[in-house]
Amino acid sequence: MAPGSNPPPNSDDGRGGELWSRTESLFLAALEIPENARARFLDGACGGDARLRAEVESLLAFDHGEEDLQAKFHTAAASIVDNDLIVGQRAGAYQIIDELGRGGMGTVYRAIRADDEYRKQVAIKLVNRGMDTDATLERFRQERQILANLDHPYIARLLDGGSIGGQPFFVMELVEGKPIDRYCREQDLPPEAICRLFLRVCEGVEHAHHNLIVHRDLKPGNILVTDAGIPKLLDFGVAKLLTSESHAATTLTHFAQRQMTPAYASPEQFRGLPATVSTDVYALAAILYELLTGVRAHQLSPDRPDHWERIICSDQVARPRTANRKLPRDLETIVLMGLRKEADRRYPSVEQFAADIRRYLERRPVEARTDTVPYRAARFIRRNWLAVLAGGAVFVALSGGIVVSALEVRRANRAQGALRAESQRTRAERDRAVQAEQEAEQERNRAVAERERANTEAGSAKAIVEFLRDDLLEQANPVRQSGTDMTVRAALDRAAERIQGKFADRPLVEAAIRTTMGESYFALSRFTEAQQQFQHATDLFRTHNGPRHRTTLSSMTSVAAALRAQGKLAEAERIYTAVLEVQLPTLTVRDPETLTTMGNLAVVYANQQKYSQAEALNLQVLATQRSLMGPEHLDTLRTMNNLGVNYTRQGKYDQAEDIYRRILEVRRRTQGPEHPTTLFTMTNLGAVYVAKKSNPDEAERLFLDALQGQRKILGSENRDTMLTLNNLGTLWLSEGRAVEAEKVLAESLDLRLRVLGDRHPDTLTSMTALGESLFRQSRFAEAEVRLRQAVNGFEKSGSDTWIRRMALVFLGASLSGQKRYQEAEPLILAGREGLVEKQATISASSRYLIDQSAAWIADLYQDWGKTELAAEWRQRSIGH
Amino acid sequence: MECEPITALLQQIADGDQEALNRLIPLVYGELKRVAGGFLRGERPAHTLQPTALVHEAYAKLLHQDQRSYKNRAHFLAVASSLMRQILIDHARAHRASKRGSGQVKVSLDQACASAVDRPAVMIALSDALDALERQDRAKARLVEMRYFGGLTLQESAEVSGTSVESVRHSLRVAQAFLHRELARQEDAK
Repeated sequence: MAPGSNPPPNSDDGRGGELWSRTESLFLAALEIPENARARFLDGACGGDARLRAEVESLLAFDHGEEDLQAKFHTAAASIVDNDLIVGQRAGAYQIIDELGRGGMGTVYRAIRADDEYRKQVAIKLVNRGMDTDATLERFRQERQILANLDHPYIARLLDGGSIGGQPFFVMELVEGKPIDRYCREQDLPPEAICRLFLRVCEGVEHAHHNLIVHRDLKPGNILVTDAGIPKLLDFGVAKLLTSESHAATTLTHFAQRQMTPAYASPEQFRGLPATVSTDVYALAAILYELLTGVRAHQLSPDRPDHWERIICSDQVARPRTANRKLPRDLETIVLMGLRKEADRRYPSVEQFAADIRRYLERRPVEARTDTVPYRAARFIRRNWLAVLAGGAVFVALSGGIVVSALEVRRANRAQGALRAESQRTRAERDRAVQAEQEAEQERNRAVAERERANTEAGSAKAIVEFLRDDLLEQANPVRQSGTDMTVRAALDRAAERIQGKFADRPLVEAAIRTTMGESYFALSRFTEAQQQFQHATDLFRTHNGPRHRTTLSSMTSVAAALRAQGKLAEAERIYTAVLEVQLPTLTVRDPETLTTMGNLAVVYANQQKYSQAEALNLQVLATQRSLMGPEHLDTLRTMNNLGVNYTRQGKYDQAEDIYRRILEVRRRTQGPEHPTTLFTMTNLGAVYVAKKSNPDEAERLFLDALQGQRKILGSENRDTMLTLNNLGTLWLSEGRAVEAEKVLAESLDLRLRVLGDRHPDTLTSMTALGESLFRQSRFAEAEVRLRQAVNGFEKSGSDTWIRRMALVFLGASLSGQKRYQEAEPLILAGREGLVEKQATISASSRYLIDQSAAWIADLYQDWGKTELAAEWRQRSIGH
Repeated sequence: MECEPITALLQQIADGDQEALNRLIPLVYGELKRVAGGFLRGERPAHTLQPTALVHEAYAKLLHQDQRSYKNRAHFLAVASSLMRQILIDHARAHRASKRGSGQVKVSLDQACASAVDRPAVMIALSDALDALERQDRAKARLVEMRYFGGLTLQESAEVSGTSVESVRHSLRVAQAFLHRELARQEDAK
């Protein structure tokens, strides 16, 4: 109800008094009724009296509670009394002119330096009357010290200090500006401009953090923006020095911990736990939320402080897009990532928060991820394991790089947004239509998924969340477990024990929880346990929903995914086949789930080297997609890509080349030359050339172009970018350009170590290739270090591919090069044996290694003086 | 001792003498400043003090005797609260007039603390809203006055108005919604 739309009822109106008393009693009665039921209540209670009803409704709209009005009033009253006392007085060399602001402990006045010929205006902060306790004074001194340490254009500067009547004061740069929320509102800034302004605020906070200072009370009122658009951080009154360990500091911290603004307080701060940089990240995210949506992240009612803890510490923050439909999805994801309840799941620093906002502004994919219920359960997981579960086929490019198809779709979703601006400028009308269609499609898919989630979660969400929170996550909570090292794994194990029998009367809730736990185990790479949970869930779904219900089938595919991850491909194949047997007749083949199952089955076939079956299945899916979705649909292209991978593995390089060329042509045209999937296809095509040992110049050009685009669009620390780097290095290696290869391989390894860790197959692949490049330069000792690291890594990760054997061969050869024959012999022999064993999987370009390793073994024996063995191996190296 | 004329003045005000109010204001405010000034100069033991406590303190000093000796305590408190409101408003107006002439300035109650807030304007806006409430419902306006300006607790307010704490709470809730609405209207009108 708009304020002022009704004239206030007047008491000299004949029935004014009666109207008022009825208004009053209905207002009070309505307050006792939940908000969503009030309209119905008023329908009955007001009868047809429109005026009465409008009056009651307008009062209800302004029912903000008592506290804030009275507090504002008292602050104003104190200010007026103070004003007469303090204004006009001298504080050292400064003459106080008027009051600027008032906080709990201190008040800031405008002043001028009386002896300064420029009569420059400054801000003076004084401790409030009656607040000059020892603790306050100590805080005051500390604030002054903190400000003295900070020197940044976006932080109000400390100029001077002194005392008046025994009370300390300090003098700061006077900031003539407006609180950032008001500034944004009045300037009516669009989201992008808000982001740019906000990035400056982040810079100021970063500067404080670099000086080991946490602000702890960031809020719009403490960030003023000048007319020139420069933000200034104010009020470090409750800031904390992260290093201060003195007794005084400890007690001060304790005192200051209670000083905060609940509307922007993180759960840990609200609970009185020590503040970290994460506390400021949270407050910044809460501010950004408010700037972008116009509403607060936490809606705290002043007269229900007993609800605050629940709202701040447990309630899910409303999605920003519910308040501002036009807000870009990526920004929403970024804000929510900063507002996560658990400090360790927010951006680890303000820099990274800012970097993601910058990525958004530069139309690059952001790193923030949406928080989902299963995701919350598996909170320590950084990788997109869900994509693995979601199924889809696996792409292999050159030396074992694996990308999951669902990832590609997700990436495309994001990249589409990223490329939108560019497309509007440069692309033809037609391309835009294609894009719009794709977006609409994605939107539809999202809507379906949303609805589905709502359906399955509606009844059981509460129970599930409670179980996960109380029985699972709470146990893994580092705070609760202080001292003992409770791993997620242990928490899951305990939860797995506790779930038994707990939901005897609600089997579907149990199934949902077991599914989530299975996903968590899966995310932790505990595939056996994951499989058990999924299996249990499947049994429950089967008993209660029936064997042909989609929940049952979906759960079965999860079991299959867990089996696949354990390498139990035959069992996985059996399950996928069983699911398809139900899906094919009951659902149309167009159904995305059916097609996904078929795609998954094709991958299982391919991984069992059943290439012809995989090929047949992929062709079937492809035919369906071509006729129903069109030859240029994203799903169609994805299946073509899978087929290309299949051909590559089979060594059918011409067919692979042909299919990749077609994909590339379509993607360049419909998605744009810099679309991530276009770039990815370039890498795959280049990889085929390398494997085929043909068109090295074309391959190099593809890799270099892809790399340039990927660095720009995706950044360096992206799996595609790293894969292209690795492929480029491998190409140069095969051309004998070992020095150049070493450079890119070293970079690829460095990035993969950082992003993927030291056990990931991709990392180990780069490590092996780098070792080879060193070996090729006869830098045997250095090569040995890298290769040994790779061999150990393979050992620990349990990964057993031909690349592991190749690493052994090169390690042996590097030792042999250092004349350490005895050490070299067993390694190189084992390596070669493995290569022979895995011959079928080795890419064509690397098959030469089988003969080559025999020659190296012959060399080894020759140099060692074992001529007989040398001759025998020489024979093999030629005769193979 | 000043208590004698002040007590007398209060009694005259209670008897309906408006002129007495004008004579009383400077006396009360002078005392209030003296009390507050003591804190500033560190003459008082340091302890947390709210504005309402300051008001109480000033009255206690002014009256220098037990309030219960008044015949009509409720009336006294109402008058004292009203007096305090008048004092604060006068000063707010004077302050604004000296600072920027008499023009009306738009005031938002959401303005944050750290920026330059025109507190006298906040005070005046509240008082205007309270005037509107008084025209509508005198009893509730008095109640707000007692709570805000007189610094009475809920319990005291209930005693004074002869009702229950619950009833006071209800009345305040209605009154506050009214005030909020009135403040929004004032702002829109500007």
